[in-house]
Amino acid sequence: MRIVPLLTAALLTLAAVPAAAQAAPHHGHDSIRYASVKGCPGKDGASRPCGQWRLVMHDGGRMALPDAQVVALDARRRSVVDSPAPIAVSGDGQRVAYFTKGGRLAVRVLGGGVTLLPKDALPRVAQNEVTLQLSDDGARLAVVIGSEKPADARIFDTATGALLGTVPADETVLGFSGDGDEVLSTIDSDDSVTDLVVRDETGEQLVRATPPQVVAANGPQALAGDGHTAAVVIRGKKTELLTYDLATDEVTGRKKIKLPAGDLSMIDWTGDTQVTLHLVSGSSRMTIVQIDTGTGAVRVRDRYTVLKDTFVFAACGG
Amino acid sequence: MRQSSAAVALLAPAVVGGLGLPAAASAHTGPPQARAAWVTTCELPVEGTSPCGPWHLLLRDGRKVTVSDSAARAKGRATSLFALSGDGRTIVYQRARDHRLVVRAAAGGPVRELPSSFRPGGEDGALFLSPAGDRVLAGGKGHVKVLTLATGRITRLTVKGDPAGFSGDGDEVLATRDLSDGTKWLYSHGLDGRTLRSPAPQFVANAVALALSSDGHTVAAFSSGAPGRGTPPRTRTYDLETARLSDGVNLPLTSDTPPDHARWAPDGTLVAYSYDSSTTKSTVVRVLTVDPASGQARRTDTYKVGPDSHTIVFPGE
Repeated sequence: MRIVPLLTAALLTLAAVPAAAQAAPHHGHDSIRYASVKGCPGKDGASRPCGQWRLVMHDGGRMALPDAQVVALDARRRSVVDSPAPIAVSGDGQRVAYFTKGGRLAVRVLGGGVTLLPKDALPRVAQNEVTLQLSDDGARLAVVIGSEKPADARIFDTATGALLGTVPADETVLGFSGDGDEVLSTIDSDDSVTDLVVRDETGEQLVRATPPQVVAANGPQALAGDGHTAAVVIRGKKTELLTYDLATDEVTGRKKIKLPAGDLSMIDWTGDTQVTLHLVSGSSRMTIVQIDTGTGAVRVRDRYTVLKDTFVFAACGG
Repeated sequence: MRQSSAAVALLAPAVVGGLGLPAAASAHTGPPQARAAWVTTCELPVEGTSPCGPWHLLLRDGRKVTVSDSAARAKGRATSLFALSGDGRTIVYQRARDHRLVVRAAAGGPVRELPSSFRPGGEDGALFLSPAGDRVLAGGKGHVKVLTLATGRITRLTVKGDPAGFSGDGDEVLATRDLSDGTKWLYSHGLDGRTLRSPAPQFVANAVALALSSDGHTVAAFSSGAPGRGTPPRTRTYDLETARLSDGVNLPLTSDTPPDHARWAPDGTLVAYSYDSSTTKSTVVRVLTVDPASGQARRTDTYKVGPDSHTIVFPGE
């Protein structure tokens, strides 16, 4: 059984728990830990996504998502048999974004209703070229289109389905800020350097900075709820958590940290002084740690192994 | 050092600081200067594309001179080491018969054997001449030696990174070092034992050519430009003492032919070399002079090297 880890870009989710939510942790039994789809052998022997998307809860329970598209459709609505359609789980595990079988983008609230985005929410593109990212609280959805023809990324309000703004196609969207109010992206500048850009939900640029090499070379970067502090994990001879202020162009913290095994798959701010990392080892084993940005103390929040028959999965963020 | 072939990617970094060719007027005085040195490429039955034959010099007056006792290849490396002083008047190379380092005037004349213990080392070895041709650097990571030719004195430097050439006055050595955290650090090692170091900002870390000024703390960095969006190569200076990065100066080059090597001239301007081997059998070299103070950049020389050059070395490289 081939298990594609969530490193599959189209299925990475990016989200974080807002500070307010920490008082009442929302990773309880009634929230989604990850979404998974089964792999079945095809005619050529290679595994391909099949069945329905399954939502696996923190308490181990499962729910099916019968209206979600499983195999990606191309721009002419033909199946791309070996590619799953994109899906995203919000950091709080309360919302899931996906393509419906009718081809519409949808955001479903766990135990609640579904918001369908307008038919013309996206240009005609292949679903496997689309990446979905929900904010930590699930209130906003970023849709990144990775087609050959450049297209702006789109930011939607998940309650109303309204388009809020866009991020220019030449920027790479990294995710929402901890509170979901801003979007962080990188752009290759004309000067052989990589800049970080912060935009509000309407797409208006708030800050753009050329960070030091140590920040640029150690992505992915995550944006704090303050809208101007970025965090990166440095995995050199030492493992460190570094914070960088885009507004002042200063490295504001660099703490040596000790991490459990695994490759970094997601980094999110989950509090004023807390960054949460998703670490994947052996393609199916997930370890989630919370780091105190002030002290560098690391605490394991969750560990799990994804369902054995999984073709691909998408974890909740923070 | 410019290499035509991927097979010789083992060579020393193509980044050096040095002293300039004097302006055109003074080129008519003193011994002849070399514009470039090169070694020819051959197809060998076993090695494939390889340097062969002795090194050649293109002189400022247009003459070509063959350095007949120079080696094309040397033990432990695909291409032998060859260096030109920044003023183009002195050369150092590995002698064919015994791979001993020897120094002589570019125009010809007697060779001076360097001590047999003065060796560049293996694959990561580097060889540089100072801008005025009065000092030779040989070595690599951890074992750099500088020989002052007038006195025969050898200074050992503790260089953790890769040596990248002399400063504009030959009193410092520039070195770069890549750390495990993804950063590049720049070091200015004074021959008097003083060392300055600084992490490189992105522009400098991604530069295609670097040169240390005679002040020992200002580094000129050259970018490649952005292919596809018509952004030309650009240069900025970076101060290792203050960590200040200057504004950029656009260069009259395209990103297809970015600078390959740069050095500081005695008058405080920068000389940058780019080459284009895509259109003719000979490589076309364009030389720019950049005044970092005024932001003026202009082409000051164009010449052809070759035909069939395998590796080209520019003054100060």
